[in-house]
Amino acid sequence: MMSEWIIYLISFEAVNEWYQANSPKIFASIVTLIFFLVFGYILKQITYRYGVRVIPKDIARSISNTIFYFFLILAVFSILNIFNIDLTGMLIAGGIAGIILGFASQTVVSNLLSGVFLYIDRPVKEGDPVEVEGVGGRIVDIGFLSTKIVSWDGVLHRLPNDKVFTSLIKNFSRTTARRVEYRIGISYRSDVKLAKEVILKVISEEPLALIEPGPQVFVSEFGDSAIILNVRFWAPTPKWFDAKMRVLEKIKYALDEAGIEIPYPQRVVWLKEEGKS
Amino acid sequence: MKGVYGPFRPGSEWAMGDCKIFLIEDRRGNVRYVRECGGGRFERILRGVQSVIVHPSPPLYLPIPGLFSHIYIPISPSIYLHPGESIELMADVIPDIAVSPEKGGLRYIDIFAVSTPKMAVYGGSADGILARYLYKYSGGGYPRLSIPIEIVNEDDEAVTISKVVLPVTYLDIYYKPGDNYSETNKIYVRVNAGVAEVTKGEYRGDGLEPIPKETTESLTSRLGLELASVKKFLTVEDVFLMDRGL
Repeated sequence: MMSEWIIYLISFEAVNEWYQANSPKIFASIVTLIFFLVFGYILKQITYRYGVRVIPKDIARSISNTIFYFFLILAVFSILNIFNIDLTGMLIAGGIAGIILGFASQTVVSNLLSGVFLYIDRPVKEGDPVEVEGVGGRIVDIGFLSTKIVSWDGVLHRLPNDKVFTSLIKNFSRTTARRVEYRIGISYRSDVKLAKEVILKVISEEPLALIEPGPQVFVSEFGDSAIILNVRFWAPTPKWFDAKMRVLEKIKYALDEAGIEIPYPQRVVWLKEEGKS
Repeated sequence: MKGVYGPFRPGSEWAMGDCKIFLIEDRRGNVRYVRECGGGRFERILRGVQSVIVHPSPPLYLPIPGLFSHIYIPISPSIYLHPGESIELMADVIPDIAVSPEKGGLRYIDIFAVSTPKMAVYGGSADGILARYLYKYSGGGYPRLSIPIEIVNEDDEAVTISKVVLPVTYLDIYYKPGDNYSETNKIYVRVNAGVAEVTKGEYRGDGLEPIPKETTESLTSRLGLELASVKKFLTVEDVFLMDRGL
């Protein structure tokens, strides 16, 4: 116990001695760090504020962050210089360390490069409704290493950028209109022509269903229990889901009102009688 | 037939198709605006407003404001023009209706359509332009908006015109209180090399007055857009190029 205290006091003495000898340098380092941090932060804010006026928000944010980190690195190098630490040796060591780290961190580098390519290619941007790697939701952040998606049920998904870049990306916001499609089965006893008229009327009365491209209703299949009608219409992309929900419900009520049956699955069973073939 | 446009005071009733408007004055002097359309009901208490005025609405609010920035006028039957030929026509469509305070009408109280407001894509579904589709006027007691259009074929080949697409800001509407009729400024369509240049012309009518217009601030909140976006939206391009089909 006593020996530990002695070691502590010696080390404290050593630190104190070092501090006495280097206090001007330490002071200069703190001033340098504060200067670069403040200057970098101000420049970051200015870049972002003016950047958002001419370029997308996410890119402006990335550029301004990069500027800030650049000043942070400058601060570190300046402080090392204050303490007369030879940067040449560090650069050589850094180079060797870089190779080692490069091998060790292939995934990180891959994600970083993919992030850069995502910015260049821009298959998605913040706020876009997408489906990536089976995750459907809205993009909330495209970082240098990962892309964050909040799925439709409100769960945050973090996807590495290399996965996003090499995956099939479905972006639901890039087109003007999207098609809504239903398969509706009506009873074999029902009047197909009437059913088509009823459905087309519902679509024509829905403001979100576009007039052009026009809607289509056609018999697509004679199913086991029903005649299958394919119903297709187009809706503005931002309102696609609203249109899909609203029209299907209205079709149900309209078919009910017109006396057109939507049948349950049916099976015809023939009972064989004894003695009859 | 009684005109649909004009001033409207408490105690009277306005009706067209399945739409009705009432103004009810309560004991405290507040006026309640009620509109019933196709089973739906819209109600609003008007403070400091004693009477309203019914007039045609610019076609930029319905069905969803801010979603589209162009108008799609169907030309039916389509027009076939030989090289060098021109035609002047009146595209008669059904306008939306707006209600604003009779005095100081800076903000519309209500905007509604007497027929289902619809939209159409001009061009492909991938990169086309979403536009408000204006129904062809077909009588039946509906109000009528006439859009004078002059089409000139400057091409070496004959063309068929089935639609005219233009920015919403190209139409300035003029109406007559006590009537059902309204009209706009002239629209010029010049066809050449398979595309059409659409430009906004002057209003040459007589005896009609311009509809009350909302302030930019009011429009901003109604369109749900930022002021800068609304100003951009309202900036009139000199020429709109119909390059996605005639």
